[in-house]
Amino acid sequence: MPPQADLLPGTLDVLVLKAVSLGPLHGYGVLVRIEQITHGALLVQQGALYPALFRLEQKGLLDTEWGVSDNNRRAKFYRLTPAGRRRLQENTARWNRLAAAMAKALQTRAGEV
Amino acid sequence: MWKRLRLWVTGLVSRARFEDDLADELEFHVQSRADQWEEQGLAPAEARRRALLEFGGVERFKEEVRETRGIAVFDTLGRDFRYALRGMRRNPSFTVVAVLTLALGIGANAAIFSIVDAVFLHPLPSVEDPSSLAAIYTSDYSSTLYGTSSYPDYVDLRDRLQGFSGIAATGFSPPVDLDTTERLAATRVTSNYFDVLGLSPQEGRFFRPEDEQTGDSAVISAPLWRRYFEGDPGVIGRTIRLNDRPHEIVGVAPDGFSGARLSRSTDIWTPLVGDPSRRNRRYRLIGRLNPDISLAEAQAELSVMANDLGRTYPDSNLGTLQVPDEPRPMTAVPFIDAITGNRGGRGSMSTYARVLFGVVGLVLLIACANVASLLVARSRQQENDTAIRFALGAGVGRIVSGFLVECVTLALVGGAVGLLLSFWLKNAVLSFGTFASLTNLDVQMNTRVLAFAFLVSVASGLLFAVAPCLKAFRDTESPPGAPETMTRFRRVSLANGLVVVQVSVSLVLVVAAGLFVQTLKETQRIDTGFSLNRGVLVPINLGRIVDNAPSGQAMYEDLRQRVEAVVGPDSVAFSQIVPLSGFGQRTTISVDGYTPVAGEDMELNFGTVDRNYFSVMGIDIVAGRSFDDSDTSAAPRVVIVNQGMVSRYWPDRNPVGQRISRGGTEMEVVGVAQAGKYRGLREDALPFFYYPLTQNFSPTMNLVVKTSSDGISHVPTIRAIVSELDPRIPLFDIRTVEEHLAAIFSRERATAWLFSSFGILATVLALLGTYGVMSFLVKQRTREIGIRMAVGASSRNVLLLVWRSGLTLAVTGVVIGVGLSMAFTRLLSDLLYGIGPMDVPTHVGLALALIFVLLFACYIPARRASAVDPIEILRAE
Repeated sequence: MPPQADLLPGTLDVLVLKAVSLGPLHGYGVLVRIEQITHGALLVQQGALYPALFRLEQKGLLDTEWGVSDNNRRAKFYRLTPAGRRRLQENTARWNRLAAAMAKALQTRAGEV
Repeated sequence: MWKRLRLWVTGLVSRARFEDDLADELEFHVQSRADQWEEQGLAPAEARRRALLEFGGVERFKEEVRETRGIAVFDTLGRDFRYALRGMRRNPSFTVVAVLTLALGIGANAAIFSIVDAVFLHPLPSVEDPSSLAAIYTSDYSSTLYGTSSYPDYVDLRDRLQGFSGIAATGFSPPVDLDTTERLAATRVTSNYFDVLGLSPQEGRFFRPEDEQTGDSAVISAPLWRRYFEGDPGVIGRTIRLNDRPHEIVGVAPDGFSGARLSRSTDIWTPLVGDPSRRNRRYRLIGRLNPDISLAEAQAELSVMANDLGRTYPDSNLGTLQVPDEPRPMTAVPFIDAITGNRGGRGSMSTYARVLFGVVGLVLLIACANVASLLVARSRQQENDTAIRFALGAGVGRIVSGFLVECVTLALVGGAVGLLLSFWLKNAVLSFGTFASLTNLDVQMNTRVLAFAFLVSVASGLLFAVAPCLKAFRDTESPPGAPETMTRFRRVSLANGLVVVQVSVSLVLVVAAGLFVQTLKETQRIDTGFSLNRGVLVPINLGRIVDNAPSGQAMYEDLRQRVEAVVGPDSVAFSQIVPLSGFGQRTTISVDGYTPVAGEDMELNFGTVDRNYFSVMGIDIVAGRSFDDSDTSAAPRVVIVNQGMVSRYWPDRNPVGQRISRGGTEMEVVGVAQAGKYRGLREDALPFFYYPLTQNFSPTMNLVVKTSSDGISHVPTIRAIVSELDPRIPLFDIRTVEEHLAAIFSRERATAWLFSSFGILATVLALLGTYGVMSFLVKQRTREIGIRMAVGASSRNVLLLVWRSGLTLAVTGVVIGVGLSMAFTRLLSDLLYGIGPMDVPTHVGLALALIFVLLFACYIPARRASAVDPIEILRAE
């Protein structure tokens, strides 16, 4: 497993949005999906997922619906709303800009300043 | 955003469903994880345990979700509320004391508010929109701006003023006899009266303009209808006899309306037949403002009208004391102010109410300080609770809000008990003092009063929560396991502060009480000018029995002889007006040889009396003679003047033999009577003169009987004598001289009584508070005392030490209290008599008295402190 890092605050929301954007999921499914897309590199506190999910639902970025899971159990499914999709795009762009800027800064050599 | 709202609401509404769903969802998660572990070969139990561990605490995240949902607030509130109630049950003695103290304070406030609400805020509930009604006055010559108006003026105003949608007039009517069995209070009104007030009849109709021609219809009030006519709808069209004249009942007024005045309720209305003379001002006017007109605009128009009338009718509408060439001003006053006597902004009734409100507010303040100190004393145990909760992770906010809920709960319970108390209190306040004169008042515990009680309870709870909350807040800041001395110090300083507050506020109330008691004493010392103190007063009305003066005089003489035959010689007199009954008559005179100063008021008070009046009443004739047999109707006209008149018009001459004239008739002064009070106890010295009954017949006179024993025992006899004389003479309103005098002083006495009670209550509360806090403080210092005694302090030293600390507190409180009372009592100046609000002896004397009393309260705990056994204390450490 590659080295793991703690989640910076606020990043959990983005990850959840991204996970759900790839298809409607129940809570556990979101956890699994996040593990997949980060290749296990980011630590997610399992229980912390739920307050995040509810918060996103309250903000209108996610829609919920009770349904039936693969193994025939009752589960609550989350889906991205148009607003959620927009928010995901914005946050993704911001992250990318930030990452690029940080990378550039950290590559600076002694003589370039 | 709407989503958020909707979720929040459904979260509130279907709490159970939400909890179930949440549990299901998290369970699903954990189970799914466990399944995965099972697939990897773990036993089911082990798999589940792993899954739960990984999840990180189901309950905790459930709680986080709940908090996200935002319904946690109500959850916590509910929990805190139940905890508070449990706490109250656990400490019954504390709870009882605190609740009773608060009940007293809140109940008193609720009672006063209910009265204020019924008198000032929502008087006349059945009248439509009283705030758009105005009373219109015409100025008297000199005595008041707010005088009655004439009928022709009224008609002009009614027809020509645009600012008012309608103006009605009401006229005074003496009580009428209904079919000779009941005496009713009556008012004469114009046909548009009920219209202007916005009322609809519940049976029949109100007056029409035609009714004003003959004046023989009547509208009865709802209470009269139910009581006397048994609510029979057939009463419409029935003829009744009022003062022996037939009237047809045309309508019944709506429920809840007994006239538009607070001081007098009306049972029956008759049409006003207006006096056509513009010089006779006898009517009160009431008008309704048009919707878009302000009072100022209406007043402007009214003033223009008044000027117009003054120019057009100089004989009647021109001239006042201040400016004889100016038209008499007419003034419009908001009707609600008019009926509470608040004309021109100053009214003793509203001052009285304001002072009362201030007083009960202060009592509540003391009660809150009392409860706060109880809480602080109890807080040692609370400190541990707070420390534990803080250590367990509760935020400071949660702890403080927990206290707040506890305090507000306590206050609400106190408020509920207080509401029960306020019923009784309200009745007590209403039956005494100024408000007793408002007979047409219905004070109810309505929603407004309940809302007020609720708000005051919550406010009180928050107020006395300040001390313990502050302490809790500071306790959480200190490290856990803070040394006992630090928390003790906080407790002690809070307790000290609370004692100072209680003492200073009670001093204010005590001083106020002292001022009112002295006012009572001063008013009791007022010289009324007569000495009669036992007897009977009977209003006699010969109006329907005789129609000429000689037979009337003969009847009076007959009555005198019959009564004197039973009671004794020289015991009977007749007077048109009973002194100090609030009534009076005035007329304009001129004095021979006296030129009035420009604009001087020559309208004087007078009365008609018989020749025995002065001796029966015990009024000294200081010069000349009383009326006697020589003053017959054929003889030259005579008058007797009082000392006030002499000092004004004949200061350096013998008044006997001087002449005055009224309306062209000349009269000679034959005697001078001692000065006295004529209309009211607190009036300024009035000049007054008397007519002899033999030269000035009136069919309505008061029979004054002087008795040697209690008046009440003679009432039946006198009643019998009068009916024997002629059974048609109505016999109502008979009262004894003792009752009359008592009534005059009752207002003063009541006010003194009321404020004294509050003063005593405040002192008792402060005493209890001081005693309690002193005991508590002594307990705090037990260790210190033990050490002092161990190193050689005698018990006497300890006693003095503790006593002195108590004294310091008391003195601080009293000094602050003196400052406060100087500020507060200024508001009382309108209500006091014979003593100023800043009277230094009162303030200082009562301050010293309070210190003395508090010293005593501190003595017992100090004594107990000195009896401590130092060995025991030190051993316990």
